[in-house]
Amino acid sequence: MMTLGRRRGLRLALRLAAASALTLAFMFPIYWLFMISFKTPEEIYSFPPKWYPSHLNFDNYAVLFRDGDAVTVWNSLVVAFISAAIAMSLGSICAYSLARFATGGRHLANWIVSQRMIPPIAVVFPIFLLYVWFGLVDTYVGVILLYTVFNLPYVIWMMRGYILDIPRALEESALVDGCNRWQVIWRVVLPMCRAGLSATAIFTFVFAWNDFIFALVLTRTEVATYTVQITHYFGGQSNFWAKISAMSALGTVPIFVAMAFMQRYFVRGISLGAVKG
Amino acid sequence: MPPKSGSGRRSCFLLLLAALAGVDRSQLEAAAIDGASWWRTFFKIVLPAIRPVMTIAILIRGLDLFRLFDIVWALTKGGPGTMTETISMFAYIKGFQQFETSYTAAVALLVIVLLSALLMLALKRVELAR
Repeated sequence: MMTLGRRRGLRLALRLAAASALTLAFMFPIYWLFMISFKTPEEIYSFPPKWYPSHLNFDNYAVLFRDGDAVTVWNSLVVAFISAAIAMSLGSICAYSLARFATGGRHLANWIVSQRMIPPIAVVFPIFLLYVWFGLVDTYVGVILLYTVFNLPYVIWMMRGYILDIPRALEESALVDGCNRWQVIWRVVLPMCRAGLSATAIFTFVFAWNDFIFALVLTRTEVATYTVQITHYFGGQSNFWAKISAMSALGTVPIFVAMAFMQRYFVRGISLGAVKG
Repeated sequence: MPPKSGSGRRSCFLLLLAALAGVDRSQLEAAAIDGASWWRTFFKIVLPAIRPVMTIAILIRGLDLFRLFDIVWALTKGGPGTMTETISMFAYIKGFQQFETSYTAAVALLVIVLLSALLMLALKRVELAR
C-alpha cells in the first residue's frame, strides 16, 4: 500500500516527466537546426545521424558572408523594423481615434480588421502589377509600404482593444489639467498600454520577418529577404542543407533576441487582450 | 466579440491558455465536491466554457493554413506533379509563371468570396454561442 504522500509525489514526478518530454520534443527541431549549421558535409549526411558536431565549425556561416548572401538577413531586419515602426505609430493614433471618437461609425473597426483576413495570394498579383507601373518592385520603399499596409489593420484592431480598456476618467483629468490631445496620447494612453504595444509590435515585426510570398513576388536581388534566399538553396549544390540551416539559424536569432527583450510584456499583453474578448 | 489576439502559429496556444485560465473555478470546485471524475469535469465544464475561444482559434489557424505557401514551396514546389499544390501556389504559378493575368484574378476573387462566406458563418456561430 502506498501512502497518500508518496502517491502524490509519484504523480508529480510523472507529470514533470511528461512535461519535460514534451518540451524536449518541441525543442528538438530548433536544436537540430543549429547543430546542422555547425556540421561538416560528411557529418550532415552520416548515418546513423550524429547528435552533435565534432567541433564548432563556422564554415557554413563563413560561406554565407563570403558570398554576400548574409545581406538578405540585414534586408529583412531593415524592412521588418521600419514597417513595424511605421505601422505602430500610425496604427496607434488611428486606434485612439476609433476608440474614443468612434470615427466612421460602429462598424468601421470591423471592416478594418476584415482586411487582415484576406489571404495574401489573393491580393499579391494586382499589387505586383501596380508596383510594376510605379517602379516599386525590388525597392525598400515598396516592400516597407506593403508590410505597413498589411499590418495596419492588425495594429489598429489590437490597439483599439487596449485603448478601450483604459479608463476614460484618466484622460479627462489630464485634459482638465491642460494637456492637449497629443499630450494625452503620448503621456497617458501609450504608457498605460505598454504591454499591448509591445505585444502588437512583436507580432507586426514577426509578420514582416516571416513573410514569404510578398517578398518572393516583390523582390529580386536588391532587397531580397532571407526567407526568399533560403528557398533558392533548395536542391542546389550538394551541400545545400548546410547553407539552408546556417541561413535559417541567422534568421531565427533576431526573433529570439526580440522575444528575450519583450517576453515580460509579451505574455501579459497577449493574455490580457484575449481574455477580455 | 472576436478576440483581439490573432495571426501567428503560437497565438492559438496563447488564446487557449488564456481561455483555460478564465474557466470559472467555483464550477470546478462544485464538480469536485459532487464527486465528478476528471474526464467528466473536463467534458462537461471546461470544454463548454472554452468553446467560443476554441472556435476562434480553429478559425484563425484554419485561415492560416488555407493560405499555406512558403513551406510547401520550399519543400516540394507542389510536386510530384500537382499532388501537394495549395490554392496559393496554384494562383502563384498561374499568375507569375504562366502570366495568365485574368485567370489569376478570377482565382483570387473566388478565394476571397469563399473565405468571406466561411468567416461570416463561423463568426455568426460564435456570436450565437455567447
